[in-house]
Amino acid sequence: MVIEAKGISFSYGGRKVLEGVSFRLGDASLAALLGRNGAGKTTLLRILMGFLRPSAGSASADGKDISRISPRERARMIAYIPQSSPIIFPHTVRDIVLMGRASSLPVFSRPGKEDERRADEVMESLGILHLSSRAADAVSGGERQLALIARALVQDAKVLLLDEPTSSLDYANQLKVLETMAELRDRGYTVLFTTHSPDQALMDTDSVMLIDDCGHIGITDADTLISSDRLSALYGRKLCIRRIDTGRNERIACVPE
Amino acid sequence: MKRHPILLLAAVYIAVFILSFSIGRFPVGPAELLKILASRILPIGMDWTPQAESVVFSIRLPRIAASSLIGAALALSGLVFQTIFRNPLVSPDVLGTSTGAGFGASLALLLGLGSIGISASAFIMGLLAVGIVWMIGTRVRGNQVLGLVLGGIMVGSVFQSATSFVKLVADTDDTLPAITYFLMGSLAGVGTEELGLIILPIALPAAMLVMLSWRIGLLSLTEEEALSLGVNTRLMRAIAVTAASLMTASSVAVSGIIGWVGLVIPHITRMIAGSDAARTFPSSLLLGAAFLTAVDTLSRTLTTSEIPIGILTSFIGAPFFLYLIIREGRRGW
Repeated sequence: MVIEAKGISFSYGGRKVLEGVSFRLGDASLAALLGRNGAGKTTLLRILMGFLRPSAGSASADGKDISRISPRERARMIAYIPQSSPIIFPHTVRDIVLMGRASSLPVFSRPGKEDERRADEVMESLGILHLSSRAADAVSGGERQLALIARALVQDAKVLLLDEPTSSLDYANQLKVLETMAELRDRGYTVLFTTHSPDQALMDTDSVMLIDDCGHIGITDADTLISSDRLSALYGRKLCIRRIDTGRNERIACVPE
Repeated sequence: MKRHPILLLAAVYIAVFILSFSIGRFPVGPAELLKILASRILPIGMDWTPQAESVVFSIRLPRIAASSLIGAALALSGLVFQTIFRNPLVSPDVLGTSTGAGFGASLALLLGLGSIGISASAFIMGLLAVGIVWMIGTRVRGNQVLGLVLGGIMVGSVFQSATSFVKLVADTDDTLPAITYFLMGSLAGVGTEELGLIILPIALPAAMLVMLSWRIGLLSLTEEEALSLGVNTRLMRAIAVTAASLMTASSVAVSGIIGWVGLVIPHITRMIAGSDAARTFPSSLLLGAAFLTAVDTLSRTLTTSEIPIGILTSFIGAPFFLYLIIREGRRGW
């Protein structure tokens, strides 16, 4: 599924956050969105989800204007994984994953055997099936993040938007979530995530989007970033980006000078 | 227990139902009760006294039906409010619905309106109260839940004062005692007529809520998460608030303010049935009905003159709530 932004601008009160943002993400692509605090990363995701209306421009999924489609139809195209999902009532992991079926079920029904089978299948593929009957507040942050990804996957949407999916996780869990996103890309999903870590944005992604403080977006990729000083300009610090041969593969690291 | 909570709670309710008939000034034993009830549909020879039959049908059945209906209504509406406001501490009392409905009923009593007038007035004021709290809560920047709770305290206090004013101007010989007794919460005056008045305004919203339970349960997520899952959050929330307010206001209209049920029963329901609304909504109906029927049985049998049930529910509910705060507080709300 193709997700496209055309000339999106947005302001909070008088403060311009996004200015003429345009990009296009195709099938089977993994993109990272980098920007400083308050640069508008979450705002952009919220516009792509139709939660906010841009003051100019439009966002579309497969050519359909996102602000003009119903929540139900949108949910079947785009899944959203928020920065945090506070647990008010201790639902089980399976209950949480099954919530992803809402857009596929008639209003008066609840998930049935077939939905449970789907949920189990997805949890198995993410390695969290053994947690399915545990309460969501009794599993680790990483496991909870995987449960939210599972919820997005049973939604049957082909676009996944993740807002700082690794922000509160330990390093092993960060890697697990990043690898999961890359696997989903390989399975044909269009995945866009925001992050504060250039290393994560450069790891196995197809494109990297940079939002500067003026709300402009530049879309680029790891190879281009290595030979330019755009990341240094973004963060106002001199940064070194190097390829590192791990012996098994090549990784990219970003360190301050 | 979490697998079949509804079966378990149905069994508990049936046990309380039968027990409640056999306790009181004219006890009717389980076997006799079943025969008397069955005799209405099956040809059974009458081997009981006409007095027993009259106790069952004219006195105890309407009362037990009322306590069941009102207990179920208060429990489910509390659970619904906790779900949609995403806060396990709210209840119909906290959001001012009960206080608003209590004012409505007092006003109707002052004006000498009949039982339909009391119900209508209670309902309108209850809905008005929750509407105002809603408006305040959604306009507060930052912590919306705090806004709702503070709004509820404010609106509750205004309606409380309005009720005090009604009491002040009420005739001290008959209207004032009627209002005072009514507000304490009691099922003593509930007969077949009052029952007929509230059966539909409670049963229909309850049925609607149970049918929509799973989807309404999704409102316990953040607004954006629920929207992203494809839930029409505005419509669902409007249905849930209207249905829960209708049930609360109808209950207050005939029984006065019976506190704590709507706060405590949803917690116990979640302990038994988990957090999935498709299980907790019907479970709370059964548990609420069993609880209020049990407490009402105590209220009419503990002492020679009846204790208003609202007094008993707070004696039982408040300490239990303290226990919950200490227990849940450790898990961190």
